[in-house]
Amino acid sequence: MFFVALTRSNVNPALVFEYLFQLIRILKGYLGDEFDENAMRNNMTLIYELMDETMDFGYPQNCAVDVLRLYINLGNVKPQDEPEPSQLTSQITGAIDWRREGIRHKKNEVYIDVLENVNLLLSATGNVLRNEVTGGVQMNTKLTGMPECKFGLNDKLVIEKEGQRKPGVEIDDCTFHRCVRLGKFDADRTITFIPPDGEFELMRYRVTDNVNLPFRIMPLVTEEQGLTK
Amino acid sequence: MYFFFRVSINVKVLANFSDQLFATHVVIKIPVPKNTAKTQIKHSFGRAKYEPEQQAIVWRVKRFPGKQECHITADVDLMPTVRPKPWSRPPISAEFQVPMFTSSGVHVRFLRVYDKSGYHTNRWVRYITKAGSYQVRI
Repeated sequence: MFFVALTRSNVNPALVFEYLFQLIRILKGYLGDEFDENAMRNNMTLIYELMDETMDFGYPQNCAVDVLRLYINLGNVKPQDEPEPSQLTSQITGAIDWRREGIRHKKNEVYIDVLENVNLLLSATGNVLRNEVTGGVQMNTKLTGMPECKFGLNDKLVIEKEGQRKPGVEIDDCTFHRCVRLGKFDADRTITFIPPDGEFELMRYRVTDNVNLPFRIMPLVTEEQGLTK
Repeated sequence: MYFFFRVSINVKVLANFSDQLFATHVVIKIPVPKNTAKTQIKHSFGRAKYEPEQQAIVWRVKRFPGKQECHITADVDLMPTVRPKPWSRPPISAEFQVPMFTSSGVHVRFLRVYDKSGYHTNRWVRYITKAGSYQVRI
């Protein structure tokens, strides 16, 4: 199955791709992870309504599944608690469209997973040709209300500013989930956000300096050749 | 007149992380020439065998403790060929997962949650490092 977008003007291709990926994510949320052509055909009205809601006059709008579920529920998705119409309006048009008001959890829990991929290419003489780490911070939040979170890594720039002795890590590039206040990050490199409920990827980063290689591999391969009669 | 080849391989692998930790799902692929006839492998732990479909000696270790050093030696006998082609010597590649270890040294210093009601939050942090493309040329 292919998802294709058409545009009449010269738009940013990243926008088009991002919208398509978001649309697939939304459809997965509504139709299940393994949806197929049949599911698409059977839920045409639902999909039409979703597309109508996520795209207005060629501009992508609210693409948060949790919020869409509040007012589009033709499929098997049932809203947990019906919101007041006035609440709904402020939710859709408000600044924080990735989280709805009035979420309650008995236990307030946050799970943080730091996943790293280490890439290495060593030459035959043992020189490092490529060595970098790409990492991501996955979060699963189960928090009540609209909490304000502040997240801290041992980022070298922050550690130096705070004047701590422990060495920090030089983070080369990073990207954030859109809930993170980028203005605040640019100003003083603090990561503050109101998290979406449930699983999401808070940030991704890349580190190229001082990588600790988990495995050293020292090969010695020799070819012997001889003649046979 | 035929050429007759042999390749001898000697690989040392050192787990360069704390001895409190261990790596899981370690797979090290040592490529061998196409016309491999017979391999004799000696290694200290894990399981290693020649897998013809991968054209490599594949060494699998389920649990590799930190600071451990391991050797693998293999003598590879090659089938004689009429027109010997030079072997391209592809790189050795490794796959692994190391829980509670970060290659970059990144760790979470804090996560503060502020809410009007001021509730208590439980936090759990996990770390895992995986091999992306981890290759050593030979």
